[in-house]
Amino acid sequence: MILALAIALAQSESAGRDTYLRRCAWCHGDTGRGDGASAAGMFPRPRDFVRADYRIRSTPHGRLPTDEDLARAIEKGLPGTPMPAWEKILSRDEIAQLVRYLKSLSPRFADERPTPIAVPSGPGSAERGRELYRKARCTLCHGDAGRGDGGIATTLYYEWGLSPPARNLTRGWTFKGGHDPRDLYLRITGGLNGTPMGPYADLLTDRERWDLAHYVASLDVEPSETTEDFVVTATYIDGEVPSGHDAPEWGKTRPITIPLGAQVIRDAPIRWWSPTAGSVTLRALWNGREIAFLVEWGDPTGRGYADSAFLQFPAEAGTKPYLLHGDEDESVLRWHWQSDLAPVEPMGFSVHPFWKEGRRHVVFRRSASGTPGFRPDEFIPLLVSVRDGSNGERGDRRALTTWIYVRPEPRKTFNPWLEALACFLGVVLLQVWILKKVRS
Amino acid sequence: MRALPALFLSLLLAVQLGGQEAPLRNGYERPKNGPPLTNIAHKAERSWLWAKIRSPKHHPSARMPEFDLTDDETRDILAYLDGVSDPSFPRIEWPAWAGKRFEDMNDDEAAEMLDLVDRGKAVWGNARCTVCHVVNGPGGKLIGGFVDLRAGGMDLQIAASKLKRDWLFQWIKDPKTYFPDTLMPRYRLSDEEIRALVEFILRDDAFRPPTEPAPDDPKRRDRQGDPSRGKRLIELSRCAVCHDIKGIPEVLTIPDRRVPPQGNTMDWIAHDVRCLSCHSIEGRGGTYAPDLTNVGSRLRPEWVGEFVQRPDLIRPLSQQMPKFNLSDVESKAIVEYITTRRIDSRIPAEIPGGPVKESEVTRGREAFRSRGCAACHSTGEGPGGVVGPSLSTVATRLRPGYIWYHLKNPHSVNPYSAEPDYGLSDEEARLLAAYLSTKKGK
Repeated sequence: MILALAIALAQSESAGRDTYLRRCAWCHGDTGRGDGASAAGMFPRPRDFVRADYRIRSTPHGRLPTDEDLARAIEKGLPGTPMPAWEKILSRDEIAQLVRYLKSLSPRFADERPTPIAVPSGPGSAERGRELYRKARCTLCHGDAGRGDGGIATTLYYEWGLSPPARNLTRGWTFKGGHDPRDLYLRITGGLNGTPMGPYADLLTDRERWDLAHYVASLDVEPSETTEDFVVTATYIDGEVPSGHDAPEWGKTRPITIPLGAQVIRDAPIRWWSPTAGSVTLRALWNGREIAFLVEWGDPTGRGYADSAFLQFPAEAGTKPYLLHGDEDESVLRWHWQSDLAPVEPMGFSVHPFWKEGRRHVVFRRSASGTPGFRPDEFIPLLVSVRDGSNGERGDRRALTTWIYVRPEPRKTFNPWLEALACFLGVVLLQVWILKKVRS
Repeated sequence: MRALPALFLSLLLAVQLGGQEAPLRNGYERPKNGPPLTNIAHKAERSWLWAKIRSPKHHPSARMPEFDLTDDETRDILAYLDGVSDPSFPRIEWPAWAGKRFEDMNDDEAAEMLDLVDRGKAVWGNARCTVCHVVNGPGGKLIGGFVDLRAGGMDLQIAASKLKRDWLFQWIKDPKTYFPDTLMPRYRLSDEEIRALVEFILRDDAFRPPTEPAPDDPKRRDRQGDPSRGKRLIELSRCAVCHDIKGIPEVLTIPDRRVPPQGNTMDWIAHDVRCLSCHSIEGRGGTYAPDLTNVGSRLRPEWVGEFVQRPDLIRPLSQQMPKFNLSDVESKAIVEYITTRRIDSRIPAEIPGGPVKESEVTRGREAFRSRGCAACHSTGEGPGGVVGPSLSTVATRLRPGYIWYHLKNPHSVNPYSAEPDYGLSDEEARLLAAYLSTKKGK
């Protein structure tokens, strides 16, 4: 009986090994040291299973993960990292075998019995959490608005290369262990092994950790911002178009948020995989004479050398040149802003940059005539690109949109309410007239 | 890539810094980059500490980030740090008048003190402290290389208003007792020399900042800090990421410190004077000073023995080695190490082709002239250039076999060397090497 069990166990371990070598070894390495063939270009690096220093656990700080934790990471993947979700590719049995195999790679699993943190139920209050977020000094790393721009994170990242930079809490989809309050409760309680995010189990009470978890969950706003629209409507306003990013006029137009892609570059690593900015929010206003664009994106540091942004248009009306630089037949022109350069005046546009709490806001403003000329209801191709110098982005190492369009809205010559009212009255009068005719 | 993934960076740092005797076991380990704070109360004046914690950027070159602490919170942290300091921290016996200001001394005391300060200045210069340390701007060529990344080579302009004299004495005497990972070497100075150096640092105006740190708010100075609140603040602020503080749990994996057993072995000497802060061996260590991987095949043992004890100029315009005052026994250990362990089998010990004949030396002298070597090198015979090092005593420094090998492969040690590769034949290299091997100076 015991022999049969032992054989079954050994078989499942060797089956796990087969699956491992087929599916996992490319990144995690043949021996599980996290040094597979594809590991070099990855950030974060694949986990070293021999060291078994697992970040995402339901267990206290410094402890091993439970089998369920490992299975969940395999099934669901680790968002925001190169680790994909395997639930559609591997069967439950295969995943269970894999878990057993991973555990056999580290001697620690033989001696330690991981016990999960007991998660007390209990609603938390994001409102109380907001205050705690400051009092528990989360701001030092994660920043006042949660964008990962706290003093410690940015200072240490620059000068000492401390790993990893603090998580931007406004992007829930990059939380490796999920962004439910329960997941966040576990992260706060148990910390992330091997990172400056230590455990708060002894520093905060259960209720406080729940409050904080709810508050952090409430910071996760970025996914809901992304729109699927690819046309920026330049809303017509009377009066001057604004230069300030916080002018009330911007409230009159609907922002669109467009995901940014990474640029293919000539030098290694062939494609700029890890731009800081994941999306850019655009607004446009015009008054028939001038047009202004407000470009906003996440930039945790706000002080990088050579941060830049540009709006790119076709140099000739009616063309849509090759994506980034155009080509010899169809060229492009740009309104360019760079943090350490004075704007180029002859281009005829003005730039008004601003940075606060992990977000950059840059207003580009120019006359509506010229090249390109903005005319009502004409669609003009537009490409937006931003660059974070503090992330090592230089030259074409940048994030960009595809070609989108800007459409200046025609001047509203009438009031739609009055028109509706006039229509209504007209119909009523017509009916009265018809009735009279019929009766007579 | 996101700069260089910090995982590698920390590995790179640890190796570059030479702070670790053994390479880190893996890239997840990260040596702490701040000094230990457990006995900080014995090291720094309270007014300085208060200013430092309250507003770290008070000193523009500070690497510590702002922690946005209030006055009360700062006091709580100081109370905790006071509480964990070791009550048995050793004290130093000073003459009764040592702590007095010059104005309060009588004439004899003042004269003796002035003499001490002068001697301290001489020790400072002799030991070449400025190789690493900046004092109000000048000095510290290592800064910007790598020392700047860690608590080393600090700007000593603030030293006099920051440091306590007992601590400073013990620090110079043996830095690693206080801070095991420091890059500061242990100089073999006598107690009198250290005493003089301490007085020089604490009394010379160069070590005093233009503005003294603002003292604690006098109105509330009597308020006692609360150590338990201080502890909580220290934990919440993650001070332990960079500093060792007694009683504060670690959040990151800290590498093992492997300290070699004390003695006259190369392992201990390298740990004690931090050779790898500047030099490298087999790719590990600093980039400031020459690579020592095959130095045993290049340098004459007699010269090495002499040089490590009295490191005098090789290239006057380039960097200098600090004077550690190594003993004869230590110098012998170093020579033994390099002649047995730092040998490159490709470099011959002697000029290949048997003993050198007098006629070959003459022909070598002729080749030296006709090849135009003198355009860059001087040999003490007739005119010579100053672009390359003087060769007038080259044979006392380099082994004949290495002179030959270097002539054949001028870029083997320094790929960026300005020396042209003439593609010399074995015969021609032999003649030149034969000639240069006679250059033993006086």
